[in-house]
Amino acid sequence: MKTSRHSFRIFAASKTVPFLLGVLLGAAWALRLDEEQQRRLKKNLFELREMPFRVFI
Amino acid sequence: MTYDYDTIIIGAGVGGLTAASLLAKEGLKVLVLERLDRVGGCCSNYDVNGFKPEVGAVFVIGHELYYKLFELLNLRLEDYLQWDLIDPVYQVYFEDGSDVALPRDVDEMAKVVKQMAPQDVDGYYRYCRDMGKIQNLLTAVTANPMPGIRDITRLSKLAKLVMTKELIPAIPVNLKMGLNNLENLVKRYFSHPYVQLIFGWENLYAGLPAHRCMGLFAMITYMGHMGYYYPKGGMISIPRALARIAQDFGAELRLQAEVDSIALQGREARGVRLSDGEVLNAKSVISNTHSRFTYFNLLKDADLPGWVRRTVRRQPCSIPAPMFYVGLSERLDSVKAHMSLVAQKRERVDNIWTDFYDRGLLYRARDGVYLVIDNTFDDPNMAPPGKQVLYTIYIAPYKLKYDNWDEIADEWAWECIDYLDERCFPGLRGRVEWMDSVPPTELERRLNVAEGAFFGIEMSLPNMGPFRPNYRSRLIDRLYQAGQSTNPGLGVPGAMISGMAVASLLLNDWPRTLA
Repeated sequence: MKTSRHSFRIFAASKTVPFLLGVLLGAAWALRLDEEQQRRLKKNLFELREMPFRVFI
Repeated sequence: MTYDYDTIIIGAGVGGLTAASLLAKEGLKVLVLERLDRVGGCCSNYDVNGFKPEVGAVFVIGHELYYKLFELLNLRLEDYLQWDLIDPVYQVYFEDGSDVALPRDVDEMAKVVKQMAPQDVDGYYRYCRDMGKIQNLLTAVTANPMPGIRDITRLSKLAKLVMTKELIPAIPVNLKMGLNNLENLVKRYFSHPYVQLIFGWENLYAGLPAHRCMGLFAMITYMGHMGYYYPKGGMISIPRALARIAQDFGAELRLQAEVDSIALQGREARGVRLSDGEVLNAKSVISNTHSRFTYFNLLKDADLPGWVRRTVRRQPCSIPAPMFYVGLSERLDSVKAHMSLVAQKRERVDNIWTDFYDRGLLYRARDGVYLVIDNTFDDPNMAPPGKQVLYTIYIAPYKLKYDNWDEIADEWAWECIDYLDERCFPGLRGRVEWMDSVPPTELERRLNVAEGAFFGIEMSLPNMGPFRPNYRSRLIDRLYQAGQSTNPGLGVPGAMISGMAVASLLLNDWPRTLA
């Protein structure tokens, strides 16, 4: 079955729009955090990034 | 190639000596190398003019594990170690100048809680009921016979050990404690800030503020009801007993033998190079040092990818343990327990992290939280006759933003002594005969513990399970890691578990890998 250009756009938008909306909401939420909450968030993101490497140590 | 030893263990701490005794018992030719002139590492005692304060660990908790180790060794613990029950468990000093002793007995403790906050008595019994379920599980597990040393790292055997009828009631409590942080968990049981402090300050042991610390740490206070013990002759008696056992089984122990690096052949550990240039060959190497020291110092010759050292460097350490020791010319009667917690209320313990610790700042002495240990309380032989030695731990960052620890440590310690004199131990300052201030930088130099954190790596979920340093190195063949940093936050029992696990893994690899 051939995909039309119109249906492809709908498909792409259905993925991109929620993603961008999520990014915007996340940024809005992060901007509202106080200093301590921001520190906790940064620490958690740092740990999340490091964890896969730790498995091999 | 001929080998001098079957395995060489770097560091005569509890983990290393546990592995040494188990492996020597199995007939392996074992050599233990220790840089200092005494065994024990962070579970040891100094001796300065007869004053013998602890270096790190201050009491025995989870004594059942010690019995399990001796079961594996086919020996009687009583033949090697004697210990006394610590009672009262703590003396706690609050911000309004009042203080309270925490008795070991549950009902006596309930009376203390009732005096302070009658509304929290129900919460206290609820807390005991929940913690009791975990304690019951631990008791049931330890009552089961230990599998052989080769089987203790086999999941099926471990599962068999844990499968008791006490497991089911303990699961929801474990989940509640694992999923809640200590701050929230304590608030579920208690409302009064002083009672919250009594049951919720163990985050100090994890080196984390209560909101980042797992609720499981609430168990530590409850374990005081099951018994904290102090060994006769100090904490160094534990590694000394293990060293004696290892030597009786044929292991060799060399003190004041500093290891320069691990000798490698490709990606295989094949022995060690000592600082005096001597090279000792072995079929395997066990590093019982902090993982950061292993990767940065002992494996300096290894051609490891950049991400390895980066990852090791970034793995956060637990609380640095700045401390100072004072030897007193005369006993202070105002010291009423083996351990005294000098604090304000629980929130203050947390504020130290957010207001000072995370910012690299040092607070004034009056804002601090102190754990004061008097080991002469249970064993008067830890100081010369009629004298006393106090060991104080407090919270402070490893790196100070505006100061240098080496320059300010003594001045800061005297400020703390003045504060403790004024607040709870009158006459302290006037009786100081000897004082030794050990900031984190000095502790790092003395014991090779990264960032002066003798509790090892930070005890948080991202550093546990598969994310902690592995017992069997995945990067260097025939290299094993034991000690505090492989079991974050578990103290002496953690080091002991690591020693057992490493011995088990090595024996299972033998002779397949090491032949």
